[in-house]
Amino acid sequence: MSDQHILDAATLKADEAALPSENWFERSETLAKLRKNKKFPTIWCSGCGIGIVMGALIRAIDHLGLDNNNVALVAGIGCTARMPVYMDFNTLHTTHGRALAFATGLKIARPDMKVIAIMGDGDALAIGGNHFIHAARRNLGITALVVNNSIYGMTGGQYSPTTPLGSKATTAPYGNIEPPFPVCQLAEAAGASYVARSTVYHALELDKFLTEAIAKDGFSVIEAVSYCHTTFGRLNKLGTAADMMRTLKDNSISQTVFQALSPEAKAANTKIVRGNFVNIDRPQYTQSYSNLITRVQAGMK
Amino acid sequence: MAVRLMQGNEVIGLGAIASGCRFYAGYPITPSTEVAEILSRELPKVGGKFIQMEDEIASMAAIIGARVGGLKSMTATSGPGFSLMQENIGYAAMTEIPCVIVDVQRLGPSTGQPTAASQGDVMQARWGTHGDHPIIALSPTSVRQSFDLTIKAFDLSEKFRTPVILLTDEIIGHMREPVDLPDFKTIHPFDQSVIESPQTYKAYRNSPGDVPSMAPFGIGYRYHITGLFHDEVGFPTQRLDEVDPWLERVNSKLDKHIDEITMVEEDYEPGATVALLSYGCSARTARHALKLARARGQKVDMLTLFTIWPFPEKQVEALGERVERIIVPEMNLGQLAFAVERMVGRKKVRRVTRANGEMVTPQMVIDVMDKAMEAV
Amino acid sequence: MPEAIPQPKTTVATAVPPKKGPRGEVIIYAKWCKGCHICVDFCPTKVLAMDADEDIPRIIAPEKCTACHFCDTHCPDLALVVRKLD
Repeated sequence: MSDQHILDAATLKADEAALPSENWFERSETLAKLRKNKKFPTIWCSGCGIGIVMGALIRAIDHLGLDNNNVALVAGIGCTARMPVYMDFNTLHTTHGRALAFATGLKIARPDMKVIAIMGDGDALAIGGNHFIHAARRNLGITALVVNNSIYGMTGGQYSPTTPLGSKATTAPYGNIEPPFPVCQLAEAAGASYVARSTVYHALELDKFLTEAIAKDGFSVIEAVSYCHTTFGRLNKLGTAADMMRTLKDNSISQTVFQALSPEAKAANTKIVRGNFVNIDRPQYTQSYSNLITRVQAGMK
Repeated sequence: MAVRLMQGNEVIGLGAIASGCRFYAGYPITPSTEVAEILSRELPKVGGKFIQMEDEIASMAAIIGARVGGLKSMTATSGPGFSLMQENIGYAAMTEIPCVIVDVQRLGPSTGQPTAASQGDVMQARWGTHGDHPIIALSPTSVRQSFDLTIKAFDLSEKFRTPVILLTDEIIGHMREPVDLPDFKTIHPFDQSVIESPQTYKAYRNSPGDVPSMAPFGIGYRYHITGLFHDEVGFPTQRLDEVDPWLERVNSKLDKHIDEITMVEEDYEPGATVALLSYGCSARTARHALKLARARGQKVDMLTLFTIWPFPEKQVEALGERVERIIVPEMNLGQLAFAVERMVGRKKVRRVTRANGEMVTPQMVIDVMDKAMEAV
Repeated sequence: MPEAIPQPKTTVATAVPPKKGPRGEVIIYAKWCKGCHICVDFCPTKVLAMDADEDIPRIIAPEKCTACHFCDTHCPDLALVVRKLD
């Protein structure tokens, strides 16, 4: 790669020395985990939050010191699901809504691997809704990373199960009349043993939650709230990517702050509540099945 | 092993174990449920894993995921479940991931008659999933054959990196016959292996050879698998110079090895002018009609197909040259006859169809055969 | 003895605290940048500004970088890296 493209710390001044040329992938731990033979830049729109989530995911994997060979990313279909191909792990891009079902088979075959399912809100909760609740019920040792931008972005902006009431979408030209899913409560009710939510503005908090989620031996759900300025933003006049990023900042509160509100204020709250809502220990599916095998084989003697 | 009275579905489960299958994911559906039940019992004994998924779509996805993780895998279903599995069967065909799908056919369409047999999924097995893709489908005609063809199904799926459908039916699946299964230690299933290093490995290499080797995840080969059209390393592409070679290789990989995949039984008599051509449970009907005909001194050929797809074109075409009439009894309204007619011409084929849950009877076949013999 | 000559008052100058230099160094990989200007908009000390002609950020006040890492953790394209300086 030409080092013309690497701008050093004092770019505009002609007499400043250029940095020594170096491969961009070697500039940081994060970049080192990208696939060097894949074409960049990524396919996402300028300013899309999905790229931010990808950075957080890589940093979390790095914090945990995981071996690249031991990590599998399984994705469905959609803009979010285009994430895995860019990263140097075992990557499986499957059919719409079915990431968790494929991931179930993979995790059962290789319980020692870290399996992370990467899905958008439509992929995970509409067509994939059934697999979402059953994976949670079984408490499979899989991390479900749901990037929630409240829209079907890849197909041009149709409403999803998390689109806010009243918002416009290409298939809700008069405003959405369907109430959205409470993603974290759904995950908790279905049996997930770790549930957390953050936003792409709070990228470092996302790192932290992802690290905990991946380390957890159980079904962990991370709802990474993002934005699609290209479809949802444009249809609802919410500005640029940077504008929508600022809105995420202004429109979210931490769980601690939320808990301190009066009951009336809580009921009236419309801000996104960020935090770790569930962190419990339950038998993890592959461990339970392993115990079953031991029991069966002992009985055979 | 000793001779035992065993059920068709039961020995399919045992055949899977003998083939090295160590993962089953499925959803109960009559008349296939026994396959799941026996594997739920037998797999843990050999350290294998069984899971009952929430639906057939998830079952098909899970068996593909498990194979990617390195375990040979299988699912079993019937018509309605087979319909649900189609999208992911296409995914397995596109990504060339080996797996076995048992379809114990029952009367359809829709809920149909869950406890009645049919052979109504022949065309669905070939074209149930969208897009152009190759597929292998095998039909047993007996309990023992159900065991043998299960092993064959696994071997072919691994060798050719393709989903394989064991297209059986409620009659063969639920019947019991005395069988003497071989000692599993004498069975040597085909196993995929990778000789390339992770640095040079290409999961979808177009040459040399028609079938690239398959590295499972998690052993050092980190690559991308996608249902999108992809290049040789698995990355999505729309470039014609990458899509066309894939289309060419994948859609000819079975045809180039057709002799390894085609299994038929030719029971021919010199001087025969009429032939019976059948498969699955209807082959038993045809065989009985054949016995009756020969007992009366009639010269009749019989071709039994064990491989349904890819269609045994060579053998059927050759039969068309030998005889004047080919009679095709089947428990559907002519789905296989359609393929036969394409090879030998509609004028030569006489369909004997039944799609109401009852087997075609030997008498029905004899009546059509007699009429055909008068004409030639 | 001459009279004591009045000595001029001397003031001991206190040590001048060293000027706070940049705590971090931003490196931009323009080839991957798609010009969303999130880094420019959110940098707390306004180290960056969008180039007048091209859709990429320029470092206009490198000395102000505090290595807060907002830009490189919020760049959707991983086109920025912040290196902590000693």
